[in-house]
Amino acid sequence: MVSAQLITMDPARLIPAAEAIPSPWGWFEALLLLTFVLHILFMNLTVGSAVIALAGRLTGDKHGSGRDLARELGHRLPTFLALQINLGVAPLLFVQVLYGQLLYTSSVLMAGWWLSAIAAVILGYYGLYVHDAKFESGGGLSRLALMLSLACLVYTGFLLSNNMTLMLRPQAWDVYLTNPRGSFLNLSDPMLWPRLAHMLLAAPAVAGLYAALIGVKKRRTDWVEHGLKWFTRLTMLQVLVGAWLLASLPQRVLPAFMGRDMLATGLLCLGVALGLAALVAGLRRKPALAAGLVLGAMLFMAATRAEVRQLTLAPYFTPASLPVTGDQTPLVLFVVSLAVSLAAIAYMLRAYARTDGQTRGRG
Amino acid sequence: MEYPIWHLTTLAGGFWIALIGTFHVFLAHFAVGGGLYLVLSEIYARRLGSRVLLEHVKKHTRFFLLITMVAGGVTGVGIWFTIGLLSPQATSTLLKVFVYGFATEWAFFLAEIVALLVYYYGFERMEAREHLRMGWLYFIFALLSLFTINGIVGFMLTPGQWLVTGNFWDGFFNPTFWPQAALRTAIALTLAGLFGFVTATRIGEDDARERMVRLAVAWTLVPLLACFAAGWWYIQALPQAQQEMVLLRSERIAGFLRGFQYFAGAAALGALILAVKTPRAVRFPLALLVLLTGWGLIGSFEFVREAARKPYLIFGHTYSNGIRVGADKTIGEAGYLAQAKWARIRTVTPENRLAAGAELYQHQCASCHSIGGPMNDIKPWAATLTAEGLAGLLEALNLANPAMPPFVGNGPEREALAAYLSEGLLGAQPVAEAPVALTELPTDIPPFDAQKDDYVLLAWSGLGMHMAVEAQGVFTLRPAQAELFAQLIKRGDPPGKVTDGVELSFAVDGAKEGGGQPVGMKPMEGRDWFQAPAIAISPRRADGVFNPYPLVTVEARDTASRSVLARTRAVLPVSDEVGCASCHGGARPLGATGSGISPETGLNILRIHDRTNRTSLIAQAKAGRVVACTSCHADPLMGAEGQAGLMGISAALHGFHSSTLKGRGAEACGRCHPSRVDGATRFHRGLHAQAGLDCVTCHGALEDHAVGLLKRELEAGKRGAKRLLTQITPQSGPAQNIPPRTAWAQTPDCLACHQNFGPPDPSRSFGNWTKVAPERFKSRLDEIGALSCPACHGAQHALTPSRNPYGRDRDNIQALQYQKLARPMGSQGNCPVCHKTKMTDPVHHPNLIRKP
Repeated sequence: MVSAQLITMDPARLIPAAEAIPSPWGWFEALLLLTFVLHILFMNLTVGSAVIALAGRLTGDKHGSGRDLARELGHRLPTFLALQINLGVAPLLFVQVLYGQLLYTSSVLMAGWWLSAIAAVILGYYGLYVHDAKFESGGGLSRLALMLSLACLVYTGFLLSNNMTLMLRPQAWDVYLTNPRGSFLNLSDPMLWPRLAHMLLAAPAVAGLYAALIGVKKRRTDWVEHGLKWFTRLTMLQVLVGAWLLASLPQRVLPAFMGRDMLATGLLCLGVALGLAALVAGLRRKPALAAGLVLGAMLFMAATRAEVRQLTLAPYFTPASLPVTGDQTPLVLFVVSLAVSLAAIAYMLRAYARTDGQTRGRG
Repeated sequence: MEYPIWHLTTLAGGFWIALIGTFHVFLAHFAVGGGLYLVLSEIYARRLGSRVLLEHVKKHTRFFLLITMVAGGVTGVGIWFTIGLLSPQATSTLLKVFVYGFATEWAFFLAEIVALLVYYYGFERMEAREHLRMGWLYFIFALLSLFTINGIVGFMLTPGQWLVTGNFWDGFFNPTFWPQAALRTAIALTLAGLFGFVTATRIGEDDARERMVRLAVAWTLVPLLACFAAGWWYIQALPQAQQEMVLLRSERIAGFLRGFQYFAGAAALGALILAVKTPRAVRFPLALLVLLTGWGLIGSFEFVREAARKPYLIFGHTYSNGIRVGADKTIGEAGYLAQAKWARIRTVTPENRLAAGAELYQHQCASCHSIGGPMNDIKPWAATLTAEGLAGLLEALNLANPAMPPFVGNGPEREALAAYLSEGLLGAQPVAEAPVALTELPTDIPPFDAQKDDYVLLAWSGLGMHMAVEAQGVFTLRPAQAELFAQLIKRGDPPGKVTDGVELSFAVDGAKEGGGQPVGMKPMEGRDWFQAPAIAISPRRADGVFNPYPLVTVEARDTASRSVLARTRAVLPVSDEVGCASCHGGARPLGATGSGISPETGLNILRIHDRTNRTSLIAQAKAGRVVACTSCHADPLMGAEGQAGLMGISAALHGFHSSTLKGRGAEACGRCHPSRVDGATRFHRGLHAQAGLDCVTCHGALEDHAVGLLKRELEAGKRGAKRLLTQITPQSGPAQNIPPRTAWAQTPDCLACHQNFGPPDPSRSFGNWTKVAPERFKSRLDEIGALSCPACHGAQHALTPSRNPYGRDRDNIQALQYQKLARPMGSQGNCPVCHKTKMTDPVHHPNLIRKP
């Protein structure tokens, strides 16, 4: 029924033509990197806290520290998710500016799955609220809601990993020839599973570190202990998963990270070094230092990820080739509104923090 | 043409964007209006010093947060996902033009959610004044994010100067920026009131509950009035094309506009009913129900906006199916499939015809049309046309229906898509127009004795063919009727024209109507002959057999003696072989020979008229009131004046179909008129036909013919004439070379070719119209005012010698009766037929007597 011409077509010729961008691509790559790190930070806090809270509720005794920590984290979870989603919008925007023609294509190939992420996030979001609201009064329902939420969030992460890897594989796109119904998943990509595992493993590790920081602040040494345990053990495991991920890189790309490309190798090494330093700090019971180092590691790992994308796409496309229209006045609009928004946020958070621990009379 | 298409069928046609989009805007507008509602309610509660009310405001905040931040916020991301899947091309353009606009909105959104979280969690922690400040900050940022996205959404409908300059600010502050911002703000405030009912009706304490319900009533009603004012402003601000779509043309938008009014009315009524104190078990569910009117309200506005934008996603830039404007011009003969990167079939072959059609459907139709689904189902529309009709429509899709983009592709692709729609989706079998086999009918020539007979009786039809156009019980354009003229000449030198002391009558041979009884003819005013102006006549014999050339017998009697002075016969041509069904589908009521228009075909035609002209003819026909086309569209032939401001029927029909039947010769005429050379009527049968001339020779190709008619309508300022004229490219050259023509009142001028009645100059055959009605062949008199042209030459299209398909000499009866020669009366030395003697002076017209 369908001709074989598409199959034999050069994958590069399938890539849609890209339109001009308003500023040089480096601007967007930087904005993408920065907002992606923030998004991933909150993703780690959301998914990781949900994992730790669920583990605490399933294994801990009724009145133990695991349950207390679960309550504490569970109360913060909806806010984490709210920020995670918001901070996910920005990198999604910037990735479309630079790589839209690839992302839209891979999205269409997995359209049905991709769209289902929206339902999953809404369901997961409400689940977190139910978990918090019914924590005391409806234990079973509360636990069930948390499990459902976690499943929804992991499922969403799975879809994101699928799409972010599929957009880098034009050579796999000819599946459209036989399946234009949007039901494809990038399961045959060797990068998919280690990438997902890498992300999912980092989440409870980072959230563990966060729990330890709350423990420090609230003087709950058991939380500090518990949180650091999550962080250190999973980070040790991460060394293995990281190696697996590295090994799964396309043959063409891997050597760049093994010394052939100084930038790529440097970014990876810095990321790994900072991660290991954080591990050491964690083992030495210094959660604040570990947290700082982890943030640094995340920044360099995100930059490494961007480098993987560039190198993988190199035969097909580089954002440096995008024409630039050069009208900078809208950028001013953005910078001013971002500054105003951040100032307002700082003001609000300060006002909120000032009232920490207080509960005023109503009226 | 750059992106793969997500193949959808039932849930195609924008189902996902409609579902997620309307749900999102419903909640997102609540997120704006509800912000102000929260702050003002808190101020109100604090002023009253009511703990109950303050507690309620906090509960409402939680409700607000759960609704707007979770479902509202995530469906916002959902819209991004959805448009990226359904319209990647337009999404890409939008994103690259407005990346900093979107980024700005994101920054505001970030501040917005932080403010809401601080407001909610700080309810009991923060000092009243500071807490209220958080509320105000929330509202300000929510409003700012609405303003930002408002600019981008407005851009898609009215990109204004951006189309020329490509400048961000031109696109952002586009022509509908401010009115749309006002309208959206008003709707946002209304929604705040409607959502207010949901929590207010659940307050336990009486006084507090009634206070909050009253507040919600005011919040609903006052902004609703503003909605109408802003809506009016919005429509006024639309550029002409979009405004015409909203106010005049789109039938769908009329429905959405009505929906907007009904939902607004229902919201107001609901608010008033909720103001009445009723038990909570009644009031709360009612509040939920009234809330849904808000969804309807904003949903119908969004549908109006989206439909007004048809056929574009970005007006004037990207079509609804993601194809860039201008692609239809550049695609060329190579075709769409060969050039669309993700087409899975590259060329149309006889074997893959339907599969290629399906592929084209997905690429060019599925973004707006589902297959049997809830959104804009293609099947009922495809069912109103045949494959042939669909192919014709596809050729002029954007012209025939301004809400449709042009089809982008070559001829075989057009036919493949039409075949897919017709055969593939509907299972319709293609109907080939088979040649019609005709049986010759006997034609008896009445006797004439040149020695003894004193009178010559000439009789002729007013038209060479009268085309009856009616779909029984549905519409009527022209009933089956004919016009007969007869002239009695007393032979002699000179001959005399007899009108006094004689009676003329005619009787239709074997016709159903009239029963063959003689009917009297009346002397015609200003002429020396007789007339029967509106003879009801059927193209079918009493036994039902199709015969478009019924004969009449005409007699002249002496009034006093009743004796017959002369008797002759003539053809009264009438046919209802109208080809509507070949494109518009529906049954062919009477088989291949003779057709007429079935009611089904008639309804299919009216449906298109309703859709593109916002009429309700289908409803009228279904209510049993037959639609009279000429009650609106003038028809000079039948003396119908139509409605002022609307085009005449000839200009409207030819103008419209010029686009769907373009680029053809006389076969285009035969698609509608009974002129098919292998059809059941074949009315072009006279001398000109035998000389190889066809319809196009004198009338021009369909486009050229239409241009002449439309130009006259344009002069009279008729609606739509200008639009149709801009859509037509004449085949003969520039439109300015075609002079305006009034249908029927002006005809091709015989003397333009036959200058001074001499041999023809064919180069002058098209574009030279008679100036005034008496110059027409039908009305023209000879140079001594004695005879009219058709009296001697036969009716137009049947000029003697004619070769009638139902019997060779059926049109030549009088010539054969009086001069035994199938040539114009008096030609070739036959002057004695009337003059009883040979003549040397060609008094009737020059060149009548040719030198040997």
